Amino acid sequence: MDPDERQRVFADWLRNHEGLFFKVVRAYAFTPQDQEDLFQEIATQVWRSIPGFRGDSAVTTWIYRVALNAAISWTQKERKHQKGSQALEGVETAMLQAAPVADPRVEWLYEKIRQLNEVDRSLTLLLLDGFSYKEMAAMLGITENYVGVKISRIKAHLASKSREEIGNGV
Amino acid sequence: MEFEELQTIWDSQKEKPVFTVKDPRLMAGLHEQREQSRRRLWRGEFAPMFVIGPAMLVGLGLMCAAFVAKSFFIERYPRDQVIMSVWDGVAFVVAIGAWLAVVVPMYLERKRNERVQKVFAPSLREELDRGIAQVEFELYVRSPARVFRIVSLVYISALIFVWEVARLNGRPAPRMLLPWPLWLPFLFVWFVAARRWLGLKGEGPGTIRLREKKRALEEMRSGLDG
Repeated sequence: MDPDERQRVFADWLRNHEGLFFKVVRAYAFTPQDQEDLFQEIATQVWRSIPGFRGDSAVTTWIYRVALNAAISWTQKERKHQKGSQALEGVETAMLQAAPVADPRVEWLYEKIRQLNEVDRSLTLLLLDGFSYKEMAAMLGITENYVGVKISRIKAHLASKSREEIGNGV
Repeated sequence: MEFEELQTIWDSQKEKPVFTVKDPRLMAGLHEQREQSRRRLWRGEFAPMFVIGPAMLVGLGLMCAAFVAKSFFIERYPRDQVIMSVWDGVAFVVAIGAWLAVVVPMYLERKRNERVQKVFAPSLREELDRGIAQVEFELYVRSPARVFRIVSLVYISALIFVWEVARLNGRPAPRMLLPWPLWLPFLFVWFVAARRWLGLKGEGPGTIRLREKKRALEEMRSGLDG
């Protein structure tokens, strides 16, 4: 692939699907420094994946697949090495600043998502972004039945948490 | 709250961007990365050569002086001792020239880069420009042509040094050194063959990472143009 074309595709994807990157980052990384680290990791993996994209799936599906795989690998590496962030000493987060959210319950929802295990987090993000069970199964390499079972449990768990916490004014 | 209501909460974040970039902190981050690159190159590349180079030059100079002095006072030594010939003089000039051809360009290229890097960057754009220049410099330092040039010159100088040491110690033609010139081409052929056998093509992972970093910085810079 021509390097200029690759750069154009990457810039285009980053611009049009920026929200997707940040959703995955917020779901998998806890501290601002880790979020920045994960964002760079996902951006790098997406960059590397561009020559392999043949257009047989939607761009959103492709980016989600790459981003979720990168996030899961990153989480496992972070846990394995007990690595702290790559934050620069004495320098605060460079890239990311949370914009004021219209609904503060969004942050609550991300917090609940972060409490799930890696696969459940992926499923929750995909569910909330409207992917079908079949697409989720294909992206994560699990069966559709298993997706269905997991999704039912996740929905019940989140609904119950929301009744307990938001319903109680937390 | 039912899941459908959670879906509505989730969908509300599509209306507004979730994150924005903080320019001053991005600048600080980029500046720190640039400084790390400069320190890494100094420690790993330039500082050792700036120590070894002058040491070798002094060593060669002293050897040359010793050889000249020996040639003047040859009557004090046994008759089978070697005296300095014109070719020894030529060899010393070549060896010293080789080291100078390594150290002087290194000094000049580093000085040129430092002149660019030490200028204060008051804006994000200029910080990105400095960052790109630093990555380009690091890529140049790693370039195969430069590495080959330095290794070849050091090799030639080292070979001459060892040869002249042997002659200074009384061996007129140290033939056991003759196979030495074959080592470098042999090592080069072995290295290329090993890379082919391992299926390694193109640039190494470090160079690829640097190129990706350069592209990312250029992308950020073009983003400033809107």
